[in-house]
Amino acid sequence: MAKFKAELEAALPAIWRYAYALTRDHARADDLVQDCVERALNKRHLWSADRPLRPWLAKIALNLFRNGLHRDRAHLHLAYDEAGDISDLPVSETHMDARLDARRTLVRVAQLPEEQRHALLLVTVGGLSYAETAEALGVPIGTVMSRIARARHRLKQDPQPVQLRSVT
Amino acid sequence: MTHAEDFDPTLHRYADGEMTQDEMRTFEARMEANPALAARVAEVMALNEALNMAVPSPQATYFAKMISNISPDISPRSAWPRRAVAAVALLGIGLALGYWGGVTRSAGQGGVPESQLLASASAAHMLYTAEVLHPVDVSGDERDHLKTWLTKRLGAEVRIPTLTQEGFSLVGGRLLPAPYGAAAQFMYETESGQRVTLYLTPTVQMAVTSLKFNTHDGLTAVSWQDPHWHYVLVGAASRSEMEHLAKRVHGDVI
Repeated sequence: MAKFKAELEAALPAIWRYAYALTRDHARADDLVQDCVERALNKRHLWSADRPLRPWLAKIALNLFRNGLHRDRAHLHLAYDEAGDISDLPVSETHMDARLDARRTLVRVAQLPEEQRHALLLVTVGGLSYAETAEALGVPIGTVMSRIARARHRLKQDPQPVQLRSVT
Repeated sequence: MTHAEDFDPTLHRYADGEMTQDEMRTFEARMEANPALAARVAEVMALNEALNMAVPSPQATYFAKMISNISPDISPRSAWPRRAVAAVALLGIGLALGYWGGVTRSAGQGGVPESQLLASASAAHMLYTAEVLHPVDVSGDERDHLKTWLTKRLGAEVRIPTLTQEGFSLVGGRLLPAPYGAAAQFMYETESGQRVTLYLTPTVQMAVTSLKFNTHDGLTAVSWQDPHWHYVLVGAASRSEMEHLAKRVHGDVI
């Protein structure tokens, strides 16, 4: 149990970042990850201690996201200050531009075909290896690679600016 | 318009850190001979960086709390007291600042709890500022050597801030163990011998935070993070004085 909890805690930052990239919203990422933790705790007998936890959690998060279950749940939200809180510090304009561009890129990723989007986000934002991503998505590593290649190719092909929109 | 290199699997394995050292060397040789490939790699890396910048990274304590909130019996105590205790057991000193750093909010991203960083930085401060004969490994006279050496050891470009306008000259610096890997410590002192130290260690995940203050027993620690480094500035000075120094350091290292 202690090992499970430690692994869970170690895996959650990656899962949260993946969830944030999917939902582009802090509260919804929290909901998704909390549901994911709840499910993982309830189903932990299905997890064997010699297997890495991250792919399994990623799979749970992906399923929850697909099912849209997390939208129906009400959770207490922990007080949280944006990691990007830079208000006290002098910030250059180029830095702000970079942040805006980054946000736009995330919005464009959301418009990729589902399978490409999940492969790309698990690897780049979640920091999962190709092998872990393959396990999470239930496909061969070669498929993960080709999905990532297609995702990146598509992002290059489609550079027109996308209107920033807020997510509710 | 299709480019063959877009679908070259080695390109993606390279950009995503899936290669062995040997494979990387081979691929880098290929890149040198193929500008189109090199340009595409740069694009893909920029895309990765943009995605990572768009996604915040809550600190580890955030998830410890989340887990214990969901299932109170699985984590009877939240994570920070144990971390603080561990830090104290390891370091002996640095207790107060470390503990306080854990109680307040943490800037330690990606598994580096701020309490540990504060404990390490303040322990190193107390240990070495008390030294009269050997306060540093490399003296401030050898600034360039110090910079080259620490950059090499820490794996990211180290910039040594200048605080002469504030009346602090560089005594020198040293390499230290850190909670995860290594850290550099730079020591500065005034003509009257008042010493401050700047502790920096590479970040695990990219994030930018504002300045945070921790004060205990006359010692003030100011900590913050930029995309590449965690910084902790420690000194026996008032909060406003330390804030002024920290802002100068921050402006110098950008």
